[in-house]
Amino acid sequence: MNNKIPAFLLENKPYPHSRTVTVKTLFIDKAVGHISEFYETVFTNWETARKDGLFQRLNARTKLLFLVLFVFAVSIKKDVSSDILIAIFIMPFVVLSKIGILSFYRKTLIAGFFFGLLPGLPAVLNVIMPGEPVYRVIELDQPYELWIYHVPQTIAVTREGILSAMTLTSRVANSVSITLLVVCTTPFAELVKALSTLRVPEYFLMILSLAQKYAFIFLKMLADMHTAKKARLIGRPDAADWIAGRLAYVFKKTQQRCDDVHKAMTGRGFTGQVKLASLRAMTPVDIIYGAMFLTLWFFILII
Amino acid sequence: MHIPDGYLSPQTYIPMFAVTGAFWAGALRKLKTQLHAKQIPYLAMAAVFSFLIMMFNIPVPGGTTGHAVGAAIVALLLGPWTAVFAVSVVLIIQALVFGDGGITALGANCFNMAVIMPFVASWVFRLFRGQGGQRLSLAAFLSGYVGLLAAALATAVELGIQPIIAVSTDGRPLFAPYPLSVTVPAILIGHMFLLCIVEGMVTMLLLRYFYRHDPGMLKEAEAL
Repeated sequence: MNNKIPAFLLENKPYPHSRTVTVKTLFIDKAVGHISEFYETVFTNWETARKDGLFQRLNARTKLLFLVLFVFAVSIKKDVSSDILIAIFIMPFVVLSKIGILSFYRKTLIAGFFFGLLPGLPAVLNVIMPGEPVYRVIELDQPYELWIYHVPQTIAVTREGILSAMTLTSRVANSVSITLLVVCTTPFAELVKALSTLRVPEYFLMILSLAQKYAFIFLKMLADMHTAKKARLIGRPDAADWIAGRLAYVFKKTQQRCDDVHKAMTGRGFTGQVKLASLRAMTPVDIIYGAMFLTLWFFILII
Repeated sequence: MHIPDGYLSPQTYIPMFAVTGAFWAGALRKLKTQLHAKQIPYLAMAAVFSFLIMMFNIPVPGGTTGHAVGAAIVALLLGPWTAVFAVSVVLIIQALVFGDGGITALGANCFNMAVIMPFVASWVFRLFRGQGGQRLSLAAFLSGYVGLLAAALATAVELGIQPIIAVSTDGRPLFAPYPLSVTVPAILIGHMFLLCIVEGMVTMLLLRYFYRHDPGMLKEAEAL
């Protein structure tokens, strides 16, 4: 059977470009990946904040009190055992708040590893911090003085160094878990409103709240621009100029959007006086939990 | 550059909150008198602009990546007081949403990146800018470069003084364990040869773009 495809389409000729072209936009792709990460994080937090768990039912002010008290407590405790006690104390709240416990502790441990253990590791050696050696790593033929640095003859892991790295790791992990517990169970808008109880000016809170919303709009715009550009791209783009051009474009776009937003705000009765919608009133349950957090905080401080 | 929780002692982070709070209050007063209510969304958008700049991790030799803070370009385009506000907002969102930078270290992080960096960048730009495009590019690059370097130095000092001001009875550092002799070279070398160049390049490329395509905007910025 004869087909009706024109002959030139049936010819198996190579693509007319004589050289292979590589599209090097990998780091821009990664930036767009970060944008997706932003969406994912915000939506995951939003999802967990909507669950019917213990912390989700509490007033944002009570949770803010919890955050401030316990992050402060973690920062002043001086030993690993206190940090372990605080971690044990937080765990029931995580379970009762129906946050995915595995994902919660995975994030906490990753933060503890990358921001606590890894940067703290060199400090276990007596090159950084002198102390009681517990494990000999290397024996040099003599100690060295290099400008302001002293390298001892025996380079060893010290007891003080291990304690210091452990304290740093546990403190970072605990602080992250406390912050995560509050952030995952509280919508961002409520958390921002609760900051007014710390006397943060409403003007500032409004900008904070608007910025989080605009981040969605402009990040999407940037991601769309990149997808559109990549779809039409043949050859090597000048990545630096492209980024500068797109960022500048977004900047101009944000300025144009200002007028629209201001008109919309004026149309809804904005007169220049910033007034955020108030949070729901504190219930007896919120007050009881607030009192409980305060009591536990005192208990942790005195032990 | 974002200091996490656990690295700074209360003796450091509480005063840092007080100092940064004074700058926030100053910025708020300044902006309230200078800006119309119309500019409230404008400030939020400046913050998002800085946030966007931080999203671009540019590959640097050694297999790692670095990103610009964007404080210098925001300071050059909108003025340093606006940058104080805009970059602080970004840092607060990053700490609360991503856990990037600690809650207790927020005052110090804002002081380094939202206070020191925009002001130093503005001063350096004013010092080096000329009338022509060539000096403008150089001044923009240096403002980003020196601004970030100053912020990095402040971070290194804040971390490096911890073993002096907060130690246990047996002499063990309770917070960041590295002394100034380690933190200052470690942080500054990494910044001088990699991240400050990225910041300088981003500031220069963006400012050059505006110079070519929207010179009126730069005239407005110079008036700030």
